[in-house]
Amino acid sequence: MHKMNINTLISKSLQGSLTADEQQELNKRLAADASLRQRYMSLLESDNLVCRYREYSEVDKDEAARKFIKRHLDKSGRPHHAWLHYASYAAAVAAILIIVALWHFQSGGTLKPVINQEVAQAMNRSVLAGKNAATLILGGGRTMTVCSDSALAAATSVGDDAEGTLVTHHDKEFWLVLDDGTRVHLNYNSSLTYPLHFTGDTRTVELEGEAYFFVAKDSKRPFYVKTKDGMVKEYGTEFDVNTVRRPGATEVVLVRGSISVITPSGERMMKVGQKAVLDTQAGQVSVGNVDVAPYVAWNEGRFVFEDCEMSRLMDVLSMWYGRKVQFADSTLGDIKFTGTLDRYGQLDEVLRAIESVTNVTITDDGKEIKINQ
Amino acid sequence: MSDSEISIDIIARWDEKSAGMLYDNFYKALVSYSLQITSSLSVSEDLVQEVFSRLWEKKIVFSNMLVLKTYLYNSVRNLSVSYLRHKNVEVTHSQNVAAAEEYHLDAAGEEEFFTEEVYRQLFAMIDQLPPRQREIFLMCMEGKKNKDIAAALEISVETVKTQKKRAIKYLKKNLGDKAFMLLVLLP
Repeated sequence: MHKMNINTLISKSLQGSLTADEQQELNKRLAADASLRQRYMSLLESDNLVCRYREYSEVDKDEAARKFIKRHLDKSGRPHHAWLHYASYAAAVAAILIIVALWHFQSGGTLKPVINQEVAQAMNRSVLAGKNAATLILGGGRTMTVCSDSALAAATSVGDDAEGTLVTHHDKEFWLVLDDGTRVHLNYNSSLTYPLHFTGDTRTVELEGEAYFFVAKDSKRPFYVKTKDGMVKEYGTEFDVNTVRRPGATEVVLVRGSISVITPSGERMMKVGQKAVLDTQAGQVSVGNVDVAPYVAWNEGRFVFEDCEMSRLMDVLSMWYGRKVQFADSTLGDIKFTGTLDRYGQLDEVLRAIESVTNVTITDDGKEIKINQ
Repeated sequence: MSDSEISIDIIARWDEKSAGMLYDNFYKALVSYSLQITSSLSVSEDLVQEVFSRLWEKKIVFSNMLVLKTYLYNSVRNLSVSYLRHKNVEVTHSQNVAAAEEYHLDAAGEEEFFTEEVYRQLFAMIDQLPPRQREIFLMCMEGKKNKDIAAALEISVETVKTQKKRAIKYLKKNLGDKAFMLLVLLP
């Protein structure tokens, strides 16, 4: 028999159009070639498969088909009846009523936070770069890996656990939506403990590491973030909390809305554009003005470094891309870098970008990043 | 809808039923494919709409399903890649379309389309499962143990087993020859 291309064989098998001979040929090759079998297994590698499916199931084909038919078929001379026009008016009136009803309903309870397009796009890119993943820990030490918010929701929607903890690895991050609609972006090396359902008159979560919160507005139930250094109380807002950037202290940056920080020494209100440092060792809270851009950037898919030593910059890349770092000369670590890097870019592109604004050469062999003069 | 129910002849009628057939069978899968390249759901939806619009306006008739699918995957890939390339430049439609229409296939492309085609058919089948069965099946694919699934969904282990069996039976039946891949995967 003429030797057929293996891809053609498989495609035909998918079409169900294989002849008996071809089927036999395919079976033979699959049996003989372990790497071929391996390829088909990895094709359907189950984690990836489930993630792809969840993504796929979020696409709305009916709405798209409606738009398409309206554009291509409505003007093509299909008969229009007068009663159809009335019917569409009636539908329009019904739609307005529903919107009004929803508005009333929403303003009574919590109001979901709005995220901008950059953030939405960054969330997508994170998923596609394989960066969106966390370990979920439930009662009794049960753990599982989740790679999307819908997977998390499925894992926690039933069962009698009251709270869960999400932990991110050094090269992963995780986006999630809490029970009240609050959106949280959990950075690498961080953990968040939160109630699966908010009951009672406060909403409290516990954080170690860094997270950015887009809090759902609810004037009746304040939202608290507890860290080892104190507490952030908020009233419907966006802010960044970081317990690791400065050892022994928690940094809080307010981007929008209003919050207060609470420590044993009392409660202090913050204004937009301020950073509070809760320093437990010094036993004090200091508040000052700050440029919020770098604290927002990581939600929008960028790393922003301002006057940052090369050694600190490399610490971040080393974690995020899972590489060791070696400086040919330790003074190279003191070079200052200012710039913006793509959080989901290929490491190679990121390194070229750094080279282009500094006078160093950087190589990467897949295990180690080397910095030379 | 299984593949045998998509018909080249119906698509070539260019009416509401043809549009429905294209959208029911290909839209979600093509958007999901494009999303792997563009990383933006709204961009990918627009690109796939554009591919369908071009097909529609030019009323291209295909000799068989394989050629149609090849055309669709190829156009979506080319448009998505060209979107990335021209992201910062204003892209005119003609530019895009010119890129999308060379539907010559290289070996790498063929393998990629094959993967997407497997996803498309399998996902369409998963969509057909009743919600509870689907959730059990997905959790099982995520590597969860029967007893964990039972605990998470508050049902008995026996129910998990039965529902899983039913889901797999349904998929096997409808995926026909493709079932061997699932067999490899399922515990």
